[in-house]
Amino acid sequence: MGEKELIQRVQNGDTEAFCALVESHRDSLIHVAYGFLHDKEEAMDAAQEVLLKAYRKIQSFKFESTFYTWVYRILVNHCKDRLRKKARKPTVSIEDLGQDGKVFDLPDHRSNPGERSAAHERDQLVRNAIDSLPEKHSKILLLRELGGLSYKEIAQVMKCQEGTVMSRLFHARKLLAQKLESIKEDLL
Amino acid sequence: MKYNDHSKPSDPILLSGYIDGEVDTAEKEAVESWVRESEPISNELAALKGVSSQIQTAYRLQLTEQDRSRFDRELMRRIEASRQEEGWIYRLFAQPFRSYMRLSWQWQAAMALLLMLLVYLPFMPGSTKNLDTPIFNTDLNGNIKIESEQNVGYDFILLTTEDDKEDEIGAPYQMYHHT
Repeated sequence: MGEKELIQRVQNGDTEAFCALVESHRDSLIHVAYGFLHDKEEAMDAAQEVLLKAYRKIQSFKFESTFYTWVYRILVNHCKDRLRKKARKPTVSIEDLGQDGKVFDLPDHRSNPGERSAAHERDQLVRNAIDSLPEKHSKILLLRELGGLSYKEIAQVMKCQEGTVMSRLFHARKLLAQKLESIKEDLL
Repeated sequence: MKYNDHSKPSDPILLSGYIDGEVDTAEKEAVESWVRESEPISNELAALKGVSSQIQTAYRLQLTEQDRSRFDRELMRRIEASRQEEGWIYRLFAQPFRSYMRLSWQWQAAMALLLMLLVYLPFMPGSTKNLDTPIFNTDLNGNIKIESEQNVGYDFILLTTEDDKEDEIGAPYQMYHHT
């Protein structure tokens, strides 16, 4: 069944059609939310809230874009709102703290604890570097690298031209490479 | 060229498009040729690919089947809770309104016009009793008045050719005159 037919069924109140609609993009929605929020449970919660919003507003969906680009747009705005609220009240969940007090997002199965710690720090540096990029660059980078969206889809989400997407991605990657290079030099 | 008619093979932003597979065949060949011929460009391409790889590693996320099932269950629970909150009255009005909003603007305008006509129809001229003021020499029931000097106690509006008069409380009235 095509996307349009599924959406029409959802508009008529069929919740199972909604499940079928979101199934193919569930993982990448959670992944993109994780890119913004850095916490798996929070990312899953945010993705659910976004999908609930999409379900409630599905009557106003006018097929001017694809359903997924519409949902990703809601997701990006929702995550940014969450981050703003979090910035006002910074908290860290107790469960997230490891024995050394550092924040762990994902268990690392590398055998050497030293290697795990170094890898974790490296990952954290990359995340911090991405968070420090201008918003238009970080958003586009996460949509492409974590969401796997095509340039056309990103253009619809970000409301810009495909050429602009390519240009911003290039500059975002270049900026990030420069930041990571300078961090590496500082650490050495 | 796909993205920029004026772009030359030496436009570095094409490297990003090349990494993501978003360039056409001609651009792909141009980039590959450029990379072969220029070491700095080759290094830049490697750096950009390295950045992509580091992002994938930094944000690696494992979702198990248990996570997915839990996600779906929780999402359905939230949707059902949301539907319950709406209530039957809301659904009674919201459902027709939503169906109306899904129509094209032409159909919306046509239905609005039809509704207006249905509401206005009972009040169109000729369809109800004439509520205008009575004719000169008739009372409110349409009966012809008989002129008389006596006070017959009619409780209707009197017409006059004279100036307006006022009663004891200052309310204006007009006298009916026999001509």
